[in-house]
Amino acid sequence: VLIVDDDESMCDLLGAELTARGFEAALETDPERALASLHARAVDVVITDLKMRQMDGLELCERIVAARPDLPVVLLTAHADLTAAVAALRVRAYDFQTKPPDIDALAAVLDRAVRQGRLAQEVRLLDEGTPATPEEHFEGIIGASPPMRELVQLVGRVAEVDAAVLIRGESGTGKELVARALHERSRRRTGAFVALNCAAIPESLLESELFGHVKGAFTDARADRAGLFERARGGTIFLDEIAELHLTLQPKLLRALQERAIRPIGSDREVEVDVRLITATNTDLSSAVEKRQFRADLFYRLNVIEIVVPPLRERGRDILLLAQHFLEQSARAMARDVVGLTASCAAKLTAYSWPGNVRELANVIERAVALTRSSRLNVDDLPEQVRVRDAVLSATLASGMEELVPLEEIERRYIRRVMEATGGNKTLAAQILGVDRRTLYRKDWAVKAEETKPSAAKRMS
Amino acid sequence: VSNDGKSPRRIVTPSPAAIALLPKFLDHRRRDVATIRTALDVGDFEAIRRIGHNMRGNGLSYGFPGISAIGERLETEASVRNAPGVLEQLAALEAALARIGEGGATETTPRTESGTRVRAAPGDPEGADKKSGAS
Repeated sequence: VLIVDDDESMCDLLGAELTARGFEAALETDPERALASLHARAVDVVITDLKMRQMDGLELCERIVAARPDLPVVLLTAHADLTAAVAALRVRAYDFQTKPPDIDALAAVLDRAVRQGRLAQEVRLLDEGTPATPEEHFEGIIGASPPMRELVQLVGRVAEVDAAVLIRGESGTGKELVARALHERSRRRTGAFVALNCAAIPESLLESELFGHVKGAFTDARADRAGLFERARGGTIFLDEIAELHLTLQPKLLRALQERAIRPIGSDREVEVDVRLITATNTDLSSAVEKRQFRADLFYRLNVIEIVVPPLRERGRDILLLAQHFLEQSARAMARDVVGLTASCAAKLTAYSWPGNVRELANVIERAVALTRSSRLNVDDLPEQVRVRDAVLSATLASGMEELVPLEEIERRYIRRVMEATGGNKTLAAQILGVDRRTLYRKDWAVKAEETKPSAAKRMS
Repeated sequence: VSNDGKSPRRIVTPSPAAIALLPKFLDHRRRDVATIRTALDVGDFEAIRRIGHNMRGNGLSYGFPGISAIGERLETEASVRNAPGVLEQLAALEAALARIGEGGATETTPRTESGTRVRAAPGDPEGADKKSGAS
């Protein structure tokens, strides 16, 4: 908070009162200096006195709003009359308060102003199509959140290593995109990238699809046909939903990996293969191994390097980055004049738990772009589940827990999830939770304290 | 919002932050006394009016309704360029500051929102009001 008042005593007092309420306050008694300092300071909201020697508060507000339209300005006036109210409106002040201010009421106004200002800034940055940094855009992978930065770094490191990779992640998280990125960053990039979903092809056809066949090998085999392993020579094979690979085919895949050779169906000759195998699953493959539904030797062969793709709900600001990306893509494809999101729409998208992950977000945005009547997507353009999803229910389901827990536990989980979803942004988290920032500080502190207790781990497991 | 151009006077009980800043607040008011004298010498009533205006606001915030009232009257006297009136308020301000000084900075007489006196103390700035004959 930047406090501007040529009366040093008022400046001091406001600064001390707001600091005691959790704000970080900067003081200025000269409005010109305050204006000049805005370039160098990280300011979320400005409070200014109306009557000042060097420049009045209305002029200061007008100049701030012209320079930084997203920066809210709160005016303090000794006379809360109609003239002052109209003047405040004219210069687009966020609010005005009488002097001496009721500090609690002022703090509440500032909380609101900061929330609104930050969200408006976020939406404007997206509108302006802020160029994605290399970390935000890596081989088609869009993301700036800490888990995605880690993932991109890992992909960069393991791409050059010609080892088998198992990609794990919920459905719709973009596992194939990660596999493609691995291929594009590897020495095999000039070779083919061949993808196959093991669950989409009947077991009887899958063997032929993978290893090929010779003419007459079975009734419909009218000619020799090369399988994926041969077609992808020098490149990469991506097998999605590997857990669905039938037990009878598993030893054949294992042999292909160990011997680096395959035998087409009906053939008596071995064909050497040179491919990198990347597999993916949305299930816990190790538990399938325990249940003897998946061969342990194949599992270890596939799982040389494991990459976990985080669910969208854990990717914080990525939700808005991706939403803007899909919005622009859909608007272009449908030739619709849709340029961005409203702040309230952005808040709903950030609050939703996205069980269908990036795929669901892409569909939601595509549908909204098709249906909207305005140039900015608003809450009404979103499907019902995003608009009104029961937040508490989603908090419980998101952890995949079926046990009944106390209300306090639900609150704790939900706060933790919202903090994760907002990337630790307490202002945005407070807005989503509908509490003020101080309440959130207190509750978040309690959540952390609880989680460090040994008993908490037991309860959460 | 009032339409008469005047806000209702809200008397504030000094917060711990205000009490901690009291010594600095009183220093500033003593500095105001010197500034007003200099401004009066050169006939700069606008400077006096501004000081009075600020004092009206900060007096209440620090729990000194008497100082706030002096500020308001200083503002009025300066705006009509009444030098004797300014001098009278200046004397009232000096007397109030002296009394607060005698009583110790923390021994003020804050009032509650309803105007009820919380406690009496030697440094009662209200005394300044009585002396100056104002309301």
